Amino acid sequence: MDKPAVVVEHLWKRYHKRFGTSTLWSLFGRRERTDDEFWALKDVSLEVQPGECLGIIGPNGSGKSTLLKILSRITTPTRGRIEIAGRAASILEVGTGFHPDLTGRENIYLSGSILGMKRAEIKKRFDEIVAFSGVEEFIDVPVKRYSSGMYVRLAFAVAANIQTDILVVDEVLAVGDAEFQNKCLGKMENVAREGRTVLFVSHNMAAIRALCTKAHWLDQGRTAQIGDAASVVGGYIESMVRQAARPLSDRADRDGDGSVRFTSIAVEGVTPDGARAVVAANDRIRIRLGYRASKAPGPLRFRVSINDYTRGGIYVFDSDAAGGVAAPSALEGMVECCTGPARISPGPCYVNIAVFSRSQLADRVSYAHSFTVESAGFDGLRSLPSRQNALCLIEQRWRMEAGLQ
Amino acid sequence: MICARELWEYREAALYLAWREIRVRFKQSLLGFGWSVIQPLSLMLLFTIVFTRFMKVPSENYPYPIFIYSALLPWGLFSNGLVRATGSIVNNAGLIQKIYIPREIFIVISLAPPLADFLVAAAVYAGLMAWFHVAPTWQALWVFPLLIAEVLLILGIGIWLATFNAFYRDVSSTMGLLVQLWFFATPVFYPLAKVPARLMPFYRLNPAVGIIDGFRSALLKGAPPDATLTAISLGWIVFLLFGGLLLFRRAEGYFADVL
Repeated sequence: MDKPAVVVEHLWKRYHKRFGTSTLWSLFGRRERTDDEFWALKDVSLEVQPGECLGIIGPNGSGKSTLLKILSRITTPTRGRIEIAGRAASILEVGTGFHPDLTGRENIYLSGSILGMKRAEIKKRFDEIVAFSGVEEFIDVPVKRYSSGMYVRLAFAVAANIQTDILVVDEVLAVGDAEFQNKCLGKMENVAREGRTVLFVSHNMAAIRALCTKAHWLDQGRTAQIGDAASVVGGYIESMVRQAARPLSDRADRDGDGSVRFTSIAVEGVTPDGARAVVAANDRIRIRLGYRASKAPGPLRFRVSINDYTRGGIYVFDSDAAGGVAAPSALEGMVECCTGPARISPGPCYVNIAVFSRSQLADRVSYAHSFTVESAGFDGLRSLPSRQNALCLIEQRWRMEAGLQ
Repeated sequence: MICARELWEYREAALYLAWREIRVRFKQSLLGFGWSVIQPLSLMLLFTIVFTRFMKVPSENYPYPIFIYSALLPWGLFSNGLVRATGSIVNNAGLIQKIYIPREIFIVISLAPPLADFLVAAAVYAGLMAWFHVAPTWQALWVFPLLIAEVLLILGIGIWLATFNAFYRDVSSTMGLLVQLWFFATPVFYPLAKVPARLMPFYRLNPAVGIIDGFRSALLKGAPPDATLTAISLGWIVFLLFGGLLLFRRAEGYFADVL
């Protein structure tokens, strides 16, 4: 076998909660107080062969970003060793080095060179980059005049055209509209097929499954599982389901400023005969969220998404999009969302919830709840497609005609 | 000891970043490079009024405007360069946390705009020489090695301050005061000869003295820079650069974590 493209051996990374990694003095051997230290990576080892595409998965705070930063040489490991054979580029954000006052053309050269492309290479690929981004007309306009969509497209186009042996990519696909995301995924697939080595971090399990040959699952800084992408993703999803079974008040893995916190969640199926704990495809879904605010909140905006474990979002329910919800009258309360018929194909789903107070994220819990859509009847369909084949159900009528059209 | 090869590999990125610094500065500005002329000229006028009308400061028989300008020229580079170099790591936090580029590059490129200003201001000096009938001599060629020495001195001090600043922002808060004090401790608006002899042993420890006074000697007096003072400056440069690089090498891996 060839020499591995990337070798990581027993990587440890310590942060200090108060001071980043360390005070200046600790670089010269002075001991730090140990009560505020925190290990972001604990003994992580991995090996990537040339041409392999490795997906790195794990919940928020599991050390994925730290690992990528060390692989990109942005930060130094506290202990351990990495070795990279070949030219590597890392894309941890879209638009690295972009400056709002410079034109699209200028930014392509600037960002490209920062990402490690040679001037001649950029020149050669310039037209391709511009065509991929679709901003031809505005190429000589400062990018601050771009719409955010155009900006992101141009930025990604630069990153996508980097030609290095090894590519380290953070979740850059989480930007742009759906069409552009597909375009990006396609581009990534090409990169993987061209036989280049790719290390890819994503929350999108479908993307990991589609792009990666191997996956590395991190949990609280430790390696939870390494193996072929499908089985690691499966294991990860299972653990997420288990986690969703924990009561909401026990969950510490939340985002947001904490001015409002979710305290409970219940999901029920509503039939003409009443509510029940299971959801069938024909049922309306009723979601009840309990919350507690630390001080009298203004109007709140709630977002609930229902997701498939491998393919991501099925529905997003947004209280503002649906006309808003009355401002809460007490610090503690309950908000309820009732939907139309679910029409989700049978199989497991999980629920992410978020609340915004004055358009600031107050609380967000991923995998807050899970439920299974029963395979019981959906009007007019005698058998339902499985989740692998379809996310949603819809009534249909078939008709046969004789003769040529 | 430093990976010169690595720096060389990133030369294009460095050039683009330097170009960005200059370009961004003059975008959406009416006067653009005009500021590089207005700034030193207005300082020259101000100092001339204060030090010829309000109080008399000797200028070694040269017209005061050109006397002060010959030192304001390198001083502008020194003071602006120092402030920018000190802030260079913190100001590029966004990039440093997202991509690997040898971090020394940020300190070097932070000097691009002050250097551009210097070139414009130097052209203005040529005009002043004609105006005041000061003929250039061959000694003026000293400005080239002096310029290199000055840039190295700024880098040498800057690498220390930029590193400290990454960990403790207090450094950049102190810069305004520091530069002001430094201004008075350097022969810019007064001649070196007016420094009391008993203070001289301390005074010439200031590494900027040899360089700023060297510029004035070469550009105005047609004399070579003072050998002792220059040697002191060079000693500082070597010490600051090597020590600074050692410190920097040790610290740079943690910049992304503390910024």
